[in-house]
Amino acid sequence: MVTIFAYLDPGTGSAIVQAVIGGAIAIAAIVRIYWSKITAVFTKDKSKKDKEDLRSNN
Amino acid sequence: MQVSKNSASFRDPSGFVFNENGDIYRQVNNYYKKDYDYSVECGLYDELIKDGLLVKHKEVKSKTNNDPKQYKILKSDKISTITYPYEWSFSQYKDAALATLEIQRRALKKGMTLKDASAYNIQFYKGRPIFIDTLSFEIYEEGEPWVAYRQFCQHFLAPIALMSKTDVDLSKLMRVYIDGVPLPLASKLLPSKSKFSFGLGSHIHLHARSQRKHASDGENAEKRKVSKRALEGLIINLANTVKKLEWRPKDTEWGDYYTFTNYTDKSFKQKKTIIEGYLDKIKPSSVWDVGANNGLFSRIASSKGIDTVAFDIDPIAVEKNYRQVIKEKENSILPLVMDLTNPSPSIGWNNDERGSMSNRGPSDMVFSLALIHHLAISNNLPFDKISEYFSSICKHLVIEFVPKGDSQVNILLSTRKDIFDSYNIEEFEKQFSMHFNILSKNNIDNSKRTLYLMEKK
Repeated sequence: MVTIFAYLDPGTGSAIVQAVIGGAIAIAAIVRIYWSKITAVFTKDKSKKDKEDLRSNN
Repeated sequence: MQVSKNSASFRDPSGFVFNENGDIYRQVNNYYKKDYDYSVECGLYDELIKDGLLVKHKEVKSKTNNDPKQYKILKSDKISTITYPYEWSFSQYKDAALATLEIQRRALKKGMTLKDASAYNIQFYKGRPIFIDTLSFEIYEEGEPWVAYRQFCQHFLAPIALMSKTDVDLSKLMRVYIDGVPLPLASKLLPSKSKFSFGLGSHIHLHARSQRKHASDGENAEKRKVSKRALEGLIINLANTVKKLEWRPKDTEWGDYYTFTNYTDKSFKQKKTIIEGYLDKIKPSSVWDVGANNGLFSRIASSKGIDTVAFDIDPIAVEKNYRQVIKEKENSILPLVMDLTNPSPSIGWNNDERGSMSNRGPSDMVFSLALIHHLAISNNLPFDKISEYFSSICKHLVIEFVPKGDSQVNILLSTRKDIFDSYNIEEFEKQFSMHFNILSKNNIDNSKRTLYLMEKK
């Protein structure tokens, strides 16, 4: 058990929804990776992903 | 010895902000030692500062602060004007949200996490959003949920979604709710079709339902496990959800907005030259342009490197102004949404947590250009009230008098009875002379308008 001295209360409902959404996104990401591996066999190499920075105009 | 603690800095046991001789310092408490040292060692601070995401700070010794809880003292770069989310235009708000998420993404990479995601931790520095709370990082433990997820949704996602999907003025809800827009309220105010998009459907609507459902079941939230991969996915998904939110005023193209002026080209140039002359004479350290529109005249000051805040009541004008700041990489002008007839009040705990507009002044110089008729006629404000107010927010005043007979004043009077007998230049000068000395007076050719440079008595 991790002991957290959080000064914000994350809220039970927020933590649950986060676990559910996060889980769904993680599964979707795994599916996507495998799917792209499968389709990569049939398609020519397209240049990979743009840069990672989440800000829009940098 | 007691130091003067910043009145917005009291919630976090990790430390606090204080002012000393006009400079900004942050005390790091012993409580935060482990997380602080790790933030430095893992290179997160340096990386964020280098990329303009975190305000620059350095470790110093304080002359006056000898608090026993003290571990370190940091001196931070000063933000010239503190702003609040209910004063940001749509894109400013969006950029602030994305900066917060980018910081969290980078923190996770270094094994740390943001322990809060308050919109008040973002300020605008040289035109761009920057994180100011150096003590917001803590060591990440695999499996723990993002403790600030709810706060991010309340402070950023909900207001931005409401601005985009319901009404741009709903950013003002942040003025009512000090800890962000409650998600059940956001869920109620958003159009129901937003339930069907994954981002808003889950982070707002489902989130709100889950909060209601588990509000009083007493389960410890920290028992919930969220894998690191899921957490990283969550952050990217939040960013994509924010990026997809757009706002464009109905039937308006950004490029076409605000092309009107009440001047011929020549008079327009003359007005600019006069203002430039006033600036060269006074050399103010800061300018507030209180009816700035899209910042055309504010830029006369900001292009001279003077810290300039361009206030306007119209969120479209402010949005357009901010887009120009980004496009031209300008760093001395700060556009803000502000209704001068009802400026931001002091809010929060003890009405002292977030300062009013005038708390953040006085500015060295105020521009009030083509504004007096809106205050005096549209808002029935007598000259003495306007003069008194301006004298409380500035040392120097550049003000344009727009008399009756001017086409803009005629428009304002065309729909109402003219009850403004004392709206004339003599009365204007008399009332403003109560609080100011008139240093210069210039008529603008081919118009009925007059520009004044005044100095507070």
